[in-house]
Amino acid sequence: MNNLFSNKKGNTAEDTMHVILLFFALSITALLFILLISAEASDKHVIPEGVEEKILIQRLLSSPSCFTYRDNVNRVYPGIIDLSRFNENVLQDCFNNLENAFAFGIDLKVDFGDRTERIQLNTTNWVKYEVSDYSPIINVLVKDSEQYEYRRGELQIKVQRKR
Amino acid sequence: MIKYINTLSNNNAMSVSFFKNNKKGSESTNIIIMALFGVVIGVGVAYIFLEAGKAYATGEIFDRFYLARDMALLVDSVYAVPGNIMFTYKEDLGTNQFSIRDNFVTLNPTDENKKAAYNYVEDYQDLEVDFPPFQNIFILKQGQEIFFSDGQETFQNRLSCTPREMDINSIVVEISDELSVSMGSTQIVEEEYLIGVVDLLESALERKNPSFILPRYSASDKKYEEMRRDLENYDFGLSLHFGENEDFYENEIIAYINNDPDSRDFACHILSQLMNRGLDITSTRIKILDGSRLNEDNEKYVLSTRKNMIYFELGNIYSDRETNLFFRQSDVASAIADAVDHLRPRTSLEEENE
Repeated sequence: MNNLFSNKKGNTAEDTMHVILLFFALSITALLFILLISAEASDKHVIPEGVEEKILIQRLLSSPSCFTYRDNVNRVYPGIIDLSRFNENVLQDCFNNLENAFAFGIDLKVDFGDRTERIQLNTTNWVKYEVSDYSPIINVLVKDSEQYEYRRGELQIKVQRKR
Repeated sequence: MIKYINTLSNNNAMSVSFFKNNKKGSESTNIIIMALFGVVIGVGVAYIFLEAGKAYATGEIFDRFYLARDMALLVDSVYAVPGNIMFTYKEDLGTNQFSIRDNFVTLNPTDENKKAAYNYVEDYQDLEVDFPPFQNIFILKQGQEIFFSDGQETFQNRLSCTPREMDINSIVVEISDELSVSMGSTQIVEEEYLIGVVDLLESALERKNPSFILPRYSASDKKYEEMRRDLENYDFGLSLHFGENEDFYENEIIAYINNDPDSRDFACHILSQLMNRGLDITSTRIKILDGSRLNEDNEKYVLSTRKNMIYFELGNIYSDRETNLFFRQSDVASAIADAVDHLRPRTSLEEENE
């Protein structure tokens, strides 16, 4: 302290530098402290793995905005895929702006009796050669609107985490 | 003159001496400034540590992250519901502001120190919701749309607007009074408006179903009796009025019904059609008649008629608020006609064409 507040010529500039460095170090420490607390708080409430993905997959199968079959009075039939709605535009309506959350690759196999047809859809942020974090296979009914019949179908939904 | 010059030179000498002293003093001044600066920074840093410690100890900081994530998960879950749902968010939001927009649930968006955010996945509907602190949050999903409100009252009875089929081929319409010379100017405006609605409703229903029957009655005592007897012959009864609220600042479109599912669903579909035409969700209500709301005569009358009866209040003429009174007649008429059409059972051929 004596040195810091000494009145000796030539030391003043050096002392000022010391004080500035000290203030700078203090401010950085305070900031780091805040950041560490925030980071710890953020990690404290972690959503269990797979919960978000399951909720979003449920939306695909149940929400009237997605592939779910709706009758003429807009009654929604969860778990029944409307083949006429199984396209990229509906997927876009269903998941708008997934950019920083998840990417979906959807693969539907429909059993038409004499043949099996396969339809694949991807969200725009899907990366083809990246490994999926979650990829359940779900048995569904598929409403074939052209034939007015229900077909058996198998839906594989691959999810890539983008967070 | 010489005396004056001497005085000046003395003054100059004094000022030079002053600056010399000041140069020496500037070092100590610098030290004082630095010390003061140090104290300010020290207090600032101490305050930050204290606040951060307090937030940590009280759990505030954890609450913010928890609330942001919880709400984001809730929004995603509500999107996944196949039918309608009303949800009351029971977490205590405390002093936190809530904002739900642009795929993010953000707490305290304007305060960087108290901000916490987590993203949800929107569908085609852009949510734009802001809640001030200490608010309750109610969430309603109806069809494909999600609504947020700070009061449950806004959504009351709206969930019963379930998809269903109802074959309505005749509606008996009652409007308050016949125009007469004894009426006041306000009453004349109201009656002319209602007559216009029924005229337009008649032609709208006729276009959809040429055999649709739409008799109309006025609310004079004699015709009430006539209508009451007659009502049994028709599928539905509609009674059109203006607001009789004691609070003139309220100006909602209210459907009063007896507690029966047919009236509730028909009323709900009419209000939904009105909302499609721009009526704000907060301006609509369906209320079950309980003997307390309408004036005695009207209530007795509506309750005493058959169950399929809706008593519509189309706003209040005295209201200072942006008025629903002049919600266009054609919109009111076409909303009723479209609700009838929407509920109509489809033949398999029609279903195929749709």
